[in-house]
Amino acid sequence: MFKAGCHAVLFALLALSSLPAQAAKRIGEFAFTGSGFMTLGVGQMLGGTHGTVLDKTCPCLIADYAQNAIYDGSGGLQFSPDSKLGLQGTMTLPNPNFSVTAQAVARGSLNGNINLEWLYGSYQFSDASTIQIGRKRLPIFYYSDSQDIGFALPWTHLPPQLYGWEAVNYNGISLQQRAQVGDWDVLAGGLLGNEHVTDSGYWQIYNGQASQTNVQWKNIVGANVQLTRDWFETRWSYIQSDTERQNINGVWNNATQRLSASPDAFLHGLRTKQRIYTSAFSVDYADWLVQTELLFIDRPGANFKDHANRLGVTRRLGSWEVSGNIAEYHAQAVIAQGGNPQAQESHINQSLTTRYFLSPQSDVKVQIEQQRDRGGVNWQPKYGNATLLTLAYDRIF
Amino acid sequence: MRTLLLAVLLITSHPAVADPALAIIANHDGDYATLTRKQVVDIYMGKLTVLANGTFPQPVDYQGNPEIRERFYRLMTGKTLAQINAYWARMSFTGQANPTRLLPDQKAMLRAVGKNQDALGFVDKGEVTPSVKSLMIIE
Repeated sequence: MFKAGCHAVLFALLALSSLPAQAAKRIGEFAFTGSGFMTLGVGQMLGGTHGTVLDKTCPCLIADYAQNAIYDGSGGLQFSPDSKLGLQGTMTLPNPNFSVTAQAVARGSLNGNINLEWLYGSYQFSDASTIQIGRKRLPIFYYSDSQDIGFALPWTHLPPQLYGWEAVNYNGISLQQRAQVGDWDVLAGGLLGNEHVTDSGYWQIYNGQASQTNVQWKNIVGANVQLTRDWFETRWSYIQSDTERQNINGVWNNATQRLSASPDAFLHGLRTKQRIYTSAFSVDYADWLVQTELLFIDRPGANFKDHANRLGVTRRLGSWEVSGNIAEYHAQAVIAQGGNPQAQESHINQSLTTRYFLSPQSDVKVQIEQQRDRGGVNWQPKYGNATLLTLAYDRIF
Repeated sequence: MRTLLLAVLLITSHPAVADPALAIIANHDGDYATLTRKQVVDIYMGKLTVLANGTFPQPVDYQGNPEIRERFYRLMTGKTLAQINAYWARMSFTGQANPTRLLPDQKAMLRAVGKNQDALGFVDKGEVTPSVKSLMIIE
């Protein structure tokens, strides 16, 4: 499948692949720096559970829930799900402690449409403390902040069992503090904000591509701390929000002059409190990198809870890297709230990735992965098993 | 056969060619008397931004991918420049750390460190001039 809509992204990716690294310019007392990243990805479905799920021809493997990036079984090479191009500009004001950063990303999965992922003002009020205001990534996981930057990742795409939720950004304020405590380097942060997602790609995966779901995460409050000592690093994060979702049913409401909307049946009531807990552990010793991440989401009153985890091992061999990763997601029924253990989502993904650094700014990766659907017999939509081969060229500039 | 054996012995007993040593340099007025090698690594990786003595280190690096930069990160971290760039891609594209100031060559590095009290840099050991202070030799 080679969607016409992502041609623009692919042409841009190819054109930019020869760009020099970073550009900088000074106009008066304002300094501008520009940089970017790109991934040209292609995948071929090798096998899995054949059938039609919602409006997809499967086997299907969801590469990124948040961006509705799906490799399906329609045949042929698929360029859209993992290809993306990001451009970032930073303007430093006459007071060098204050800067404004914007990052826009065009994705094949969104037919080349450009999204503003980051737009924030940053004030560094000491060399160890920074306050940022604007639009940023929600720092839920270890790689959340860099989830679009293929060159910063050991895979062709992030393990979808953990990464990719209905909201991955927020508008708000964050504070970041660095410190050294004994032999430990400490990075601590806190955030406050809100997020409003219209026409959520995440919910199109569950409700069909024609569905329209609006999502609001209100009163987001979060904190995270990262501790590093020599070859060991651990990260802990907590984020809570009030979640609202509305399904737009396409019927015009004359009274409101809007399309009619109804609360999402998955939610407990009109608004649900959500508490997200994550932890990560990383051992980076000599030529080995071993990482594990854990996720738990609790929504008091809801009839299920989310659990996800992953374990990855990477071996570096000069310009080569070989990574093995296993990631698992399962929803746990809360029977006291009417949850049905046989109607819960569950899947596991195992991948093997080989990466070769073509230059200090570019790499090529080959990844084979196998997804096993372990959802309950009453779980829908059941995308089934899939075996996928992906190839990616990443570059920063 | 003897000639072949001799050749093999000569080749295998030849000492490995060591990388030229690097000097970590600072301004004469910089307060880096107790700086450790680990701290230098942390400073260049954006993890350590303030020292216990209150100094805010300002690391200076080289533009592009010159051999001295590749050697510095290999000796200090055991990683290739591509791996370091992958790490910095994660840090700089996400606002977690400010990229280090980049200079074109060792002359510019010596000049910048000589002028800035809190600057840290690295040059070939033989390039150190009286305008800067050598903190440690890396080899």
